[in-house]
Amino acid sequence: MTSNHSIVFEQDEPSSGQQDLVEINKNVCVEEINAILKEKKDKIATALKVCAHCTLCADSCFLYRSKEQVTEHMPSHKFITSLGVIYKKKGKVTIEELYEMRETLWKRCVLCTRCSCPLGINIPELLAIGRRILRTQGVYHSYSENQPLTEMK
Amino acid sequence: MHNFYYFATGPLAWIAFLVFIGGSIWRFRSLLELARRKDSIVFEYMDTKFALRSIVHWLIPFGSRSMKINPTMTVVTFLFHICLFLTPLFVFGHVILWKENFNISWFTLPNAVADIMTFIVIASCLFFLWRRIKLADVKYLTTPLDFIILFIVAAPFISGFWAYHQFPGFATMTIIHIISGEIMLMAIPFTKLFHMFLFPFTRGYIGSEFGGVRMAKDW
Repeated sequence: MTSNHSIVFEQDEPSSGQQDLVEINKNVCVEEINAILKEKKDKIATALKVCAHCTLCADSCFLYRSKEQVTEHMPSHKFITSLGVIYKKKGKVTIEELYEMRETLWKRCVLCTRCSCPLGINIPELLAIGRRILRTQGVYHSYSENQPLTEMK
Repeated sequence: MHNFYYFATGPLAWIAFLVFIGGSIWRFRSLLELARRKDSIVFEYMDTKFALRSIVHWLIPFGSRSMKINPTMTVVTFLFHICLFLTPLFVFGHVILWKENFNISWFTLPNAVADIMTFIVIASCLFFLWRRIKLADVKYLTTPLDFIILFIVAAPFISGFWAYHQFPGFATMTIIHIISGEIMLMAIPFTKLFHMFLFPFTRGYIGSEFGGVRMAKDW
């Protein structure tokens, strides 16, 4: 099952001035997404069931602390609004949503793995699963391509 | 009214305990089965020593950095959970019910202490409600279900306090107390309240990763 979208996205942040090398894939393949969701369902379902929305993970994120405590940088928020949404929608997300999630999963998290949840949710692992799903749909940043730095244009 | 009381303390009570115990076992089994089939690395990660080390640190007040930078939340959360667990188990009125129905009994809390602990639970729920309404971060993550769960948890304590002190309408409030307690029990396996059982496993899993793989503390 695929869904087509004709919307054109900016590939880079306007201020960066860099060309994103990733070709936009306008088709979302739900089967590919669901294959990963099924594989990691135990972790995703558990995390969504356990998260008490307490926000105590916020202060463990250096981006949250250094960016004037912007809500979007809370680790729990990053997980819930990316992988959490994909899981709840059973993979039936639009390409627009995936591009919004790209900003969350790459620009608002560097996967430093230092965030901590009082209940023990492994948030970085979930965000990494989110990145993996987005990569299957060709939605990621050029600097995150799986190739040696020397080969990057 | 009497018929309803007998229904709430009879069949409905049995149903509540069956749903609570059966639902919790089902939930555990389905999660374990899923992990075994699709994500068996979870079991290879688990390390008893590092898991226990993490659990213990997070069960000690101010035992983690997160707790130290959120002192108010730490104090309220610990008091809330302690009172939430101990009050229903050791309040005199409940132990008497076990004695009358199953001829088993145990230590009971002095009524004044039970009153204070009930008050702590209610006040904590109000504090959590305030956080959800007023604090921007918490408000941002809060869903309508969070308010419902908060109400489900607070209701048995508010109605219990009301019924015990025989405030006006206490007979009706007693039935509300029984039913709200049964609703809370039945909600545990199917809502975020299930974190009471999942906590040792999620904490143990990340504790094992930090201890065994990253060689670092997770508190």
